[in-house]
Amino acid sequence: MRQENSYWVRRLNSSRLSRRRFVGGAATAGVGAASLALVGCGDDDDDDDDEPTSPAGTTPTQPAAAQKEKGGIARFSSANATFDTFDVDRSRFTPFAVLIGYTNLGFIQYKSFTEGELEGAFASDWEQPDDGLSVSFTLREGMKWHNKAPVNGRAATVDDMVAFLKRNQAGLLADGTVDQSFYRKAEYANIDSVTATDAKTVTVKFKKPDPFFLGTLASGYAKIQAPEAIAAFEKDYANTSAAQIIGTGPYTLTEFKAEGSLSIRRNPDFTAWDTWIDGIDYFPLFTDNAALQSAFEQKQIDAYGPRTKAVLDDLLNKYKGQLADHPSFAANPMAGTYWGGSAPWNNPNLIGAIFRSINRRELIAQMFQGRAALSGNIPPTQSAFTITERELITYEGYREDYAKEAAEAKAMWAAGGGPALGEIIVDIPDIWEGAYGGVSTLIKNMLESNLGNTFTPKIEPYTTINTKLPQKLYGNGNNNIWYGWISDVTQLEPSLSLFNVYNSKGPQFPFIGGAQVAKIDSNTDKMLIETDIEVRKELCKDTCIELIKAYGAGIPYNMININNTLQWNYYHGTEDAAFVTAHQFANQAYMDQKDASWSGRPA
Amino acid sequence: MAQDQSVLNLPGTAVQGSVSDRSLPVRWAHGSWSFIVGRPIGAVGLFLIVITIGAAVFAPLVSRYDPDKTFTTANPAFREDLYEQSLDNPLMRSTPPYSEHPEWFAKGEQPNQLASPSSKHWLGTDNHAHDMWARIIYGAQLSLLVGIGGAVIAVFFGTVLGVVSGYFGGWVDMVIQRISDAMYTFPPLILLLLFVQVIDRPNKYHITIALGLVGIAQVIRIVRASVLSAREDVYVSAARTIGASDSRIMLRHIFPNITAPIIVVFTISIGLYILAEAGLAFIGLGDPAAISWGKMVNDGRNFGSTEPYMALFSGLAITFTVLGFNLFGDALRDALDPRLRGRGSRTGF
Amino acid sequence: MRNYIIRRTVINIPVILFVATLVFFATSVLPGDFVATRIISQNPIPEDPVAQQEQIRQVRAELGLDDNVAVRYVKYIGNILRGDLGTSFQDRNSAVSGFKEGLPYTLQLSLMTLFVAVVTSVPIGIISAIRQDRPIDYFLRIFAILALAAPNFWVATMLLLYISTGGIPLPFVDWTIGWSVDITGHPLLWEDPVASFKLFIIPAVAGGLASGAGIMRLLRSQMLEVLRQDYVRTAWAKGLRERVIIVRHALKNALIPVVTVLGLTIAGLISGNVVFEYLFNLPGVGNRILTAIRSRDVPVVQAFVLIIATFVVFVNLAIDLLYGVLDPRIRFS
Repeated sequence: MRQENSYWVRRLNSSRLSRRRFVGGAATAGVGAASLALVGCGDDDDDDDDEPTSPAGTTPTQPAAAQKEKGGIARFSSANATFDTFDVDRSRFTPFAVLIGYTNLGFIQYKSFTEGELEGAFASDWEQPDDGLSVSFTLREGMKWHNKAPVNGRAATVDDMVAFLKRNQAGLLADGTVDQSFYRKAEYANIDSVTATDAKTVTVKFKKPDPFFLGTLASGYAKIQAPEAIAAFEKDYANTSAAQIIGTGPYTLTEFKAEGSLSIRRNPDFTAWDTWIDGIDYFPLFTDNAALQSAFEQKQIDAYGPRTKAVLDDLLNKYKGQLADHPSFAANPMAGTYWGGSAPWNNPNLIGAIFRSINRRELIAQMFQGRAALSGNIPPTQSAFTITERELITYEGYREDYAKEAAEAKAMWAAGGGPALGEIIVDIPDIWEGAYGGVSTLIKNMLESNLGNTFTPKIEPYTTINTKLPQKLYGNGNNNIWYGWISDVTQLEPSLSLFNVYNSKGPQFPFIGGAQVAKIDSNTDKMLIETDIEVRKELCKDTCIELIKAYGAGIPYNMININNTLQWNYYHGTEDAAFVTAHQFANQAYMDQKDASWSGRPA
Repeated sequence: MAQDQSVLNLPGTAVQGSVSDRSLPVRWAHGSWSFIVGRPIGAVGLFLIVITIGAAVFAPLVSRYDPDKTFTTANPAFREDLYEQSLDNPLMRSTPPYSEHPEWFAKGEQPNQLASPSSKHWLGTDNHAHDMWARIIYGAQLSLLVGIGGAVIAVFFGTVLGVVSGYFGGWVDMVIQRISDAMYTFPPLILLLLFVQVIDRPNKYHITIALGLVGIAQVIRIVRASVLSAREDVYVSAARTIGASDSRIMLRHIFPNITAPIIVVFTISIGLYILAEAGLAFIGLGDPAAISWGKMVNDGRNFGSTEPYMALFSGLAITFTVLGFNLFGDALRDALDPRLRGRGSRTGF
Repeated sequence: MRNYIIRRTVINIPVILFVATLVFFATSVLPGDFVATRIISQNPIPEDPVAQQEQIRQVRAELGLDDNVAVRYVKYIGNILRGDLGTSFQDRNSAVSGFKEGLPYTLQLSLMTLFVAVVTSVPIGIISAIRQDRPIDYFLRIFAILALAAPNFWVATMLLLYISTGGIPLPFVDWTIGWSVDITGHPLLWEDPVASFKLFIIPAVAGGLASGAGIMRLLRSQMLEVLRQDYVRTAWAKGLRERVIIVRHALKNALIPVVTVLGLTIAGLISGNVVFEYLFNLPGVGNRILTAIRSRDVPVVQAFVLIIATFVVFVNLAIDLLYGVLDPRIRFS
């Protein structure tokens, strides 16, 4: 689980940077098509069955390219972002994935996340034989590195691509030491060999067919850094200075301050495609929602996500015709985690009682004024891979009759010996409580009124929660659980992460799952090598049901909210899947300075 | 005055018919009455304090509702047909125009959030559909606990250290003074933040203690200054001459003589600590489980542009409570010890 | 006089050392650990937790955090005496440079707050005193006591909200007070005077009114006391004009205790602006120290507190010296 991603995404959530449209647009059909594209290597395989059923999947129409004009600096709010490192191979902070998405190119990238369509980037083209045992990439011609020392604008070569793959596969620093922070090492483990077959081509051979490899290369962290830069800065990347970011992308990082104010500007040497906007300035405004709203109303920032429906309605009304709402599901479902592998939290009566005491519909109403949907262990954002709400509400914990759920929860708690446990601490992330003031008390009251024990909320930063997770301090004999935003939806399809988290052989299972279910093991084993997307969908749905029956198997899901992002009409954004489509900003977004809303935007 | 009697407690010295002749309750009543008549502004302050204390003590009787009760209301906008569609199509809710009308999909009674004031909810409801009146009433408990508790701690330790420091002088005074200087030099809010964060899971009692500790230095200063002047008085010399012990002199002769400034600094500190707690809760470092006015202001300001009542009423509650202690403290000071005028307003909180 | 200054400075050395000690021990008992937090948050679910613990141990050793408290304390005091106030864990720059970066914002906000406090409190205090018990006196006193009681963060929030989005409607006239507030750029006065003023004036008014209210009340009571003194009566008897009496005789003497409170206000502002800097997104000293406390960036907390404490000590000294200027009867001995 990339807990800190959810943290940073949340901190960026009020800006355009979150992945809401990725999720919103990656409709029932979109995901299916996407996965086909991944396997079929960029094949535009239009399958009519996969057309979205109305009204889902409607996206604002993009005007023709002829209407677009160059110019303008976009302005967004950012977190008071602290970056872990400026070495993307060793980073897990979403803000950095976003940042490097502007400056560095990966092998390939998503042309459209909604359609699951890939396009060339550092590699202009790629080819994958039907056996799925290899893939070869063609280097983009005439591409140069940014003109920064020590690379100084030399031409990009196939060796740069080879170096990237080998570094991530080996997970070693230049001096040969193993570094734990090559987080995505496992995703490159299936590579058998990487060779530069000629000056323009790199061929990757796999040990066994790999349905997920192109998805890995198109992801936000798979961005290629100049080998000279790595050699020069490897020991020093944690100092996060603008000089360290050297890529081949359409923008260069011109200014960087650790507190989250940063600027990117157009790279004059970039020729691969047209870019419209001259750059972006980020401002650290997370701390105060009122300040954020006021900055947006004064057009000092171009996008804003109101926290409440009342403010949304008010702004839509106040600036009718000047701004529009861009709704979509959030990337971060609400849930908690605990380790359920030992007493007392391996007792289904106890975890079931807590699972069913959470009144999910009331939380949706209280926190989001209805702007959310119930979520099982696979959220509806990945709707092709999960069960419908109609089916979801037949399972315990999600049923419409909460009074009955509560009564049964109480009986289960008593049967499991819950009252003898005494006080139970519920950790609540500080930014979660900050965003929905009073939510900790709400959860405390729900649990206390049903189960009778004292539930004490404890407001903690995510860093503390992340520290406690691997030490198995949640569950595992401790009277301690937590609720908040959990891992964001980072993959178009959930198969890989289902295996990692819930399979008893999965790398994360020893820390957050702990509840071994034979059916889940066998399902996730199968989906990891299954190449037929339709079969994987069914396996995922079946796994989701098993997980819900096991009361979340260590991760009790509640819901996923819908973000309403307001944008002034002059700003035409991207398909908003920043995590993997920050690059789209370079070839899709533009400022319409003739739009009526442009007037009054401060220079 | 009390300290005069301790020295001159000889039979027959009392003036016939004076108030000090009568029983204690009568004297108290008389004193209070003349205070109210003589200092109407102080009486207003006292009135506000009495209201706040009344609210805190009798909260269950006057709050009308449980402060944690969620109020619901029917949702006439619910659309059964759309809800049924959404069960099969989860993405419908995130698609315009449906995304702007979540009420179409909200089945059953819904929380009545951020309602305007009405006869049912005198001050409206908050963002979680709790009755604001009830929450303001219950919020008085925390403010008074923190304010009075913090002041008790600060005044108790500050008085002990101040008396010891002022009475003994010499190196004892030197050490206590340097420590008090250092604490005085320490930025108060930062000191408070550090003290609060030292505890792993700070609750309202920890915050109270932290506030009290931060306030000690100021009390030491005021008490010490009073002790220095009291020390030179005739009755102290007299007591010393007849061989009274140090502790006896401090307890029986010095302390009664400095009660006036102590009472004044106590009263004025309460208002300061209430503000400090509200500020702490406002920046999210208060007790998460407690009903705190400062936290309510913070929660409410997210809705300020459209639903101002929540931030408005909780801010007013703080203002009037602090006002009560300030007004009363001022009047007490004028009545008891005019020399203290202007002291005790330490900025930085 | 020079001896006095030297003696006061010497007396204050143990005070500052005690502050250093206090902040050292307060920060060393803080629960949570920057290194562990930082490393684990980068990789919450390590494939090899043992190796991660080893990594944490190494970094802690590098930063000298593994020594026992006594050793660290001696090192820490030694570093201070050599003028080394430490390096931030977070950005690995010296803590002093972080303070320097934040100082302009804090200084500008403090000076503007002080300005608001003085320009509101001094005239109001004088008017209130010389028109004692008239309606204007009551009005001003009620205003002052309300300003003192209202939480300043609440006032600032409300002001920001209404000024920047639509404006505050004035009664009786068809005007609203409202302007655009540059929250994203937080410019300083010498970078963009107009925009900077529009932004900083909001917290300055919210904070300045509260500080000013205290000063005003003090000034009023001092004025009343002075106006009853014999030499003022004499001045009246001599037939001097009211303005001369007020300014030359009464005000000058009434100001002496006010200077103390002003000094305290200055000292308090440097740190007391934490809430405003947090609210208005100013990267000042207060905001930085808040962040540092939260992220357990111990060297930054220690260095900032020490610098602020030293500053306060010298402000207090300056106030005492100022006494001598205002009141020649005071001799420094």
